[in-house]
Amino acid sequence: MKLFDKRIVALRIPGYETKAIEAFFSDMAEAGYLLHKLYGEWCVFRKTEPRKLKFSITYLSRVTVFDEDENETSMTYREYCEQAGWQFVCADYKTQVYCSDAARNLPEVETDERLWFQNVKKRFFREYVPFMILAPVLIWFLFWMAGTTTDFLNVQVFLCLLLLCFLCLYVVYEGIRYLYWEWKCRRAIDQGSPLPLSVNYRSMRLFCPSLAAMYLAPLCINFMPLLQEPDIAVPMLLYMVVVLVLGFCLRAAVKKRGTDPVTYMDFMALIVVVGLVIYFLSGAVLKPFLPEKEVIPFKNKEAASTISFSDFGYKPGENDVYFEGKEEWLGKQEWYFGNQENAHIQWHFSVSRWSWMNQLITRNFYKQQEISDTDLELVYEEGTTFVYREKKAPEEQVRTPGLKLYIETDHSFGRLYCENLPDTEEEILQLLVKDVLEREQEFFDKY
Amino acid sequence: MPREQFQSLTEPMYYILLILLEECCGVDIMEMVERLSKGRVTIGPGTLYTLLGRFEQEQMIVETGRQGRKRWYQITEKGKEALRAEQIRLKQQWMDGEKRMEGFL
Repeated sequence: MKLFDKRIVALRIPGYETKAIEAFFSDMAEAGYLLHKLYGEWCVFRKTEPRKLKFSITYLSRVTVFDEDENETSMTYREYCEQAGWQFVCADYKTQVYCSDAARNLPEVETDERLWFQNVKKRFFREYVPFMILAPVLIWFLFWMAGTTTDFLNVQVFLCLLLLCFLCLYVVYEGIRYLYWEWKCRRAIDQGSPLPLSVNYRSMRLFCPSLAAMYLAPLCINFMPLLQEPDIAVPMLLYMVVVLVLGFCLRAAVKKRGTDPVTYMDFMALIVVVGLVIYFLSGAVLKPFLPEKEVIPFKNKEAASTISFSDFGYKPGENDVYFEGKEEWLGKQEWYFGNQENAHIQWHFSVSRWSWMNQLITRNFYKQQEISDTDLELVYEEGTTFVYREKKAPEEQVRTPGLKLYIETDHSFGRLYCENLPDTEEEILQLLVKDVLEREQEFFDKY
Repeated sequence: MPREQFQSLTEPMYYILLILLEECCGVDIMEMVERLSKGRVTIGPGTLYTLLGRFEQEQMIVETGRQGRKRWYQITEKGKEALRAEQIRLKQQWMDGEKRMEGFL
């Protein structure tokens, strides 16, 4: 990517491929782009006069995330390098980049290959092994989690899983590459030959799928469930935007003033605290201006489950064969219970792809509740949609003076019980019909 | 195995410890090693930095002073022992070689 006089390249920088990355930086310098900054996988180059330079990348294991950019360890290390004639270029956390004129016959920064090899091994075991162990566990956990809900075929969840799988496979692939390289190095050491260090940097470039997996997958895990809830999504996005904008402004202001260096951790802590304050304040300030919620929040669900044969008292046998191998594909049901001051609502909804199954569910429900046809009166009819109201028994009117509505369509069945709602019965009925038809459509779109 | 790693010293390790028999500034070691070995052994700043860290961790050298970023180091008794053991090993190796090569070369 070229931005005016800058060029930004995404590279994977594993510890054992430093020679290849150094070669890449040298070639870029020769082409007139000098490395300016490193941000994780991102290398920022600035346009300069083409120069023949040689680079050296070192990994300082003693530097921690809690250290400033210019800390005791890195500054001492810089002293050693500058004494030897190497010039500091940039650093990112533990990774330090130095350069020197290619014509100068300076000793390499790392002159002991075995020592360097030991350091790379240590780095690998510290950084990659935990990921390699976690990757299969994470994949298994995500599939298990997805399997417990019926949202597995949801496009967002599927995309999230796909990205995560890609990320996990990428980590495992890196691990295997490293192990192969380590094996080759051990063999070289045993034979007393130089370490097999590749200078081919073509395979180091990161492309869209890898970058998407790296950056989008963690975001998906963290924010996907939140973003699906509209009440949380708006303030959450607002919070993120404000935090980012404010963070960049603060960082730029501090840099411009040239005051004491701000550590990365200080910076992050500051923007998070400021962001949280703004988030809570914005919630309080914006609340009066936010539109009021639906009186009957049909869309909020408290619990959901799948419908299986065992719901009808059948014990599944080993030789049973189900459609697409999934017993729970018979249908889906949801419950909602809500209270607002003295108003109360109970909502049960079930949907199935087969109308015979829906009839079975409906009959089963009436049977369990001991409701006969004479207890119900038809209050709405349109096409194949029927709404019944339960007739109130004299003694029940005193105990539960609420409204009980039953809605039946070809593929779904719902039961609503509500008390002291400000809406009229007609309004509630219209909402109920609209909601059931929407839910039914949603179910068929998804499955 | 940090204890086992200094059982035999590599050439850069040996020269660093030799230099540190006298108190010396860390950054000057590279130049002094090159001078002492008449240019045969060169130690890069990365290697020197790592080795000094490891020697210090193993208490084979000790920091004796500091001025700004510059640090001064000197060998400890433990370091001297390792140096002496390496000296004996090298001497033995040389003597074995001499004895074996007599009559052949």
